[in-house]
Amino acid sequence: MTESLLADVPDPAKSVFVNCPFDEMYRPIMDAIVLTLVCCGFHPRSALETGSVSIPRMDRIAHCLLSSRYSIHDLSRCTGDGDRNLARFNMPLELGIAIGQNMRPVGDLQRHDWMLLVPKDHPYVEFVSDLAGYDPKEYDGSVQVVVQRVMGWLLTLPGGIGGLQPSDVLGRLEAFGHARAELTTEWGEDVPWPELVLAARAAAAC
Amino acid sequence: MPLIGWTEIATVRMAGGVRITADHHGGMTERTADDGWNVFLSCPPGDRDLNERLSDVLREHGLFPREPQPGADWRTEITDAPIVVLAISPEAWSSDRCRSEWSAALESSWDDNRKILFPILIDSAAPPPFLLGTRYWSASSLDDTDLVEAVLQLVTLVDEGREPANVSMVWNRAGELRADRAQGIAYSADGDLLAVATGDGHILLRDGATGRDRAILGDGRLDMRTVTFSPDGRLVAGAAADAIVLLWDTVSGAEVHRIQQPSGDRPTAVAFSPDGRSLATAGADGIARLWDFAGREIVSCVPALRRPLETIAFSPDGQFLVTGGHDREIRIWNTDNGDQVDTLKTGLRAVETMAFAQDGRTLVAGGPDGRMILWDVARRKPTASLRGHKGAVRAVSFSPDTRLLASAADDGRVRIWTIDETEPVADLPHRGRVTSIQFSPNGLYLAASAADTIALWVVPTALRRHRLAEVEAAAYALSPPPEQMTEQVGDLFRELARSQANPERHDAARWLTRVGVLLRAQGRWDAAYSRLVEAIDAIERSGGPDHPDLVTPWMNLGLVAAARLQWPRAVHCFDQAIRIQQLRFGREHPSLGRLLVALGEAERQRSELDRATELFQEARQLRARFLGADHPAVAAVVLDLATVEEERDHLYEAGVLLREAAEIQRRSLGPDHPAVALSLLRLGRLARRQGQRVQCRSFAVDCLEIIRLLEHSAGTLRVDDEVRRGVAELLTWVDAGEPMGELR
Repeated sequence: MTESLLADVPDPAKSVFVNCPFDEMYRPIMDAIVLTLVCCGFHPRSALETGSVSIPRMDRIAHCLLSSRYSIHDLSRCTGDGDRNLARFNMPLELGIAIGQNMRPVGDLQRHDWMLLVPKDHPYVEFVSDLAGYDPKEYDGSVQVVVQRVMGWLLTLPGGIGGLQPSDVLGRLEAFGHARAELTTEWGEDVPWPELVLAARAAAAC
Repeated sequence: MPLIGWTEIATVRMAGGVRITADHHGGMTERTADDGWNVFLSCPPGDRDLNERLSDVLREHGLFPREPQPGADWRTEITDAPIVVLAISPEAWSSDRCRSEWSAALESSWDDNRKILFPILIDSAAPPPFLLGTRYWSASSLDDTDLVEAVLQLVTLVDEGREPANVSMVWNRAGELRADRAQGIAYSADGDLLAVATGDGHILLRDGATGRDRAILGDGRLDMRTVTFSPDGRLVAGAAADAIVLLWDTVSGAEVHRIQQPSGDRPTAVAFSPDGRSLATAGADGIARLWDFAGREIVSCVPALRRPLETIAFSPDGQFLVTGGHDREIRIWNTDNGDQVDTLKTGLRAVETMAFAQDGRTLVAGGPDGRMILWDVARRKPTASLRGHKGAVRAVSFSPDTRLLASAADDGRVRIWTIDETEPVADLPHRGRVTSIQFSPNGLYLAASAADTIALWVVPTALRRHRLAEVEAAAYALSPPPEQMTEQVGDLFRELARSQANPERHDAARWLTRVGVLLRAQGRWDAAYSRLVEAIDAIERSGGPDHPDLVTPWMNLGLVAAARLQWPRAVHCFDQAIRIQQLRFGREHPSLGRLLVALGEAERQRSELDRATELFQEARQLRARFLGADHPAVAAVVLDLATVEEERDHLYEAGVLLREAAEIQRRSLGPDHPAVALSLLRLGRLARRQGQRVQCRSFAVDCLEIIRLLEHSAGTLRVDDEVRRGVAELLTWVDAGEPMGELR
């Protein structure tokens, strides 16, 4: 099944690169984003989808992001972390690529469009003050609100599937959660991205 | 989605529109922003002209568009505003700010289901995905009348005090009414009630607009299969599998009668006569019976072979009763004496379901093999055979305007057909067999019963005929005719003008202008003319001949003159409007574009072709400068230029311009837009005029391709029937090889 999905090259015009934390605490939010994307007719893309191959990580991320018309970025995990209180800059870095592609598109793609998610009262403007003037979407850490924020954006994009309400997606989250749990049993923590997307598609079709 | 509630808009109330009411003491009351009439207006930031004009129209109709506040958080403004007007133009699609505003408005409507979102699609802009299945208004950026009409709809929506929020929970695509073991469904004639027959022995009465429970009829002991309302809505009849038909009073909920089938066979279908005096039942015993309401059998109709009947229907004039069942024929009976009048051989293995179109001219019958036959009732001839279902057709329903036919089948699909096409225009999936369907009486919704649910679908605007007519029809039913209301408003302000001093007199004249514009929009030329002339006179007296308020009445007076084919007068009026507008804004203002086009058209009509070309060229340059070279409005004026060249018999030049217009439309509206199809049709006609069959065919085929693509797309854009006919004419000409001269 994974192979068939990998063989199915996603349509760049409907691809959305998801630049969000992968940790366990964030997982419900990530799952909600993935399911929302699928329900609204888009194809979730991630740095995880190409797995551990012998291509530098940055190249893989850039390829994936630049072959997606859209991207979603969550700056939740940019604050200090661990004993040494290190901030993580991967997500702002990838956001920068998206902004660059928005300003000066390379290749055949149309202008890249991106959406920024931040937790409510997040001090992003203090550590990336250059983002002042953009309009990030705030959420309170709940899947309900994140689904609403992401849907509110997707349903204004060309090619989105309308006629849905956030409750339609939230109603399918439980089925997706079960599928995700089964995948975790099978694969451990490293569930292949294509399998996750397939599970989301199955849940969306319920 | 909350927006679905708009489809329930019923009246265009001019008095409500201006938001001024007279009290019993002769005073006037005006609404304020505090009354909840605040509007957030989302417009493309680059189109200030549209923004200003739309703001003006909103203000003129008593709404309060919020002025942009420096430093204010626009998200908060959207959240706080009870009404959000989204002006969705091609420019808005490319504006990050606009899309953010749409997104914020959409999210806000999810949080606050009382919020009204009112999208106006400007210049045929594509609707964003979140508008799927919702009502929106279309307008040209060049015509204030469109904007006025759209805002009137909004005013009516707010003024009616309806709560779209309640509707939203029901009427979205995913929304369904739960009804365990739902079988037959029926709307009352006024659409107020939706009845559902359930296998657990109840008739559920739901509110036709919101889906809320109104009453539950029946004791739960009978297996209710079908249901129907009397024409006046006072009675509802349900047929049970237990050889009983029950009648209830819809107001009191009391059972008023029960009819026992004499043979003990189950009644398969019931129908009230159009005059409401009798009830017909079809039985598994092969007998159709007419009953009065004392339960007395009036007449019996017995098919020759006495095979089980499945369906029954009255002709809309009540003269005939038709029956269908397992004898494979449709039998037509005289309702007065029960005599058989005619028999239609269907070719179906059985007749499972039937329905008359509301005009009585067409009858449709569905069979167990998924096939349907359409009949011309007067000629007793089949006119079409519709195929597509992969299971027995269980129910059929015509839309009230007779334009659409819906069919439901065991394959779990509801298919929508236009009666002049043999391919469905839509295919709506359901979970499980679909047992019953019906269009709502206002034609806005389609209800379908399948698998314990009633799915409610919104009929796309593009598939409905006479959008304004339906609104007006509802207006007549619910309130004084809008024309009368307009007269009242006009008279009110005329009195005001006579009685008050100069400043107020000028203000009254502005009101008169609005009334004149509205009358013109209604096509009431004489009434519009007199009020606009009166307004001009009053404004000139109080403000002088160059007062900016004169632009609108001059413009509209010109349009009235044009409608009456009084071209010299139209030229004079448009000249005046342009002169004043130029005094106000100079020669480089975007609002001049529409005036120049109107004047150019008037000049063309009176054969001043050089002058017309000059004006169209000027309009084109102006629009290209302000709107961009690839704007649909630019394409429109290029088409005008092409028309002038055609009139000059400069066919080559006309062809170049038509191609140019089509290219602009392709780039700005998309390659499959109806406007592109229209331009291709014009190119085809031009080729025909030049006797160029190959080119003509090529344009016609391209046009046909767009028509087909649009017909099979999920979107709501459709090509007019006129274009369809035009293409057919071109292809006929190409194939027939007619001599060129006959077609000129």
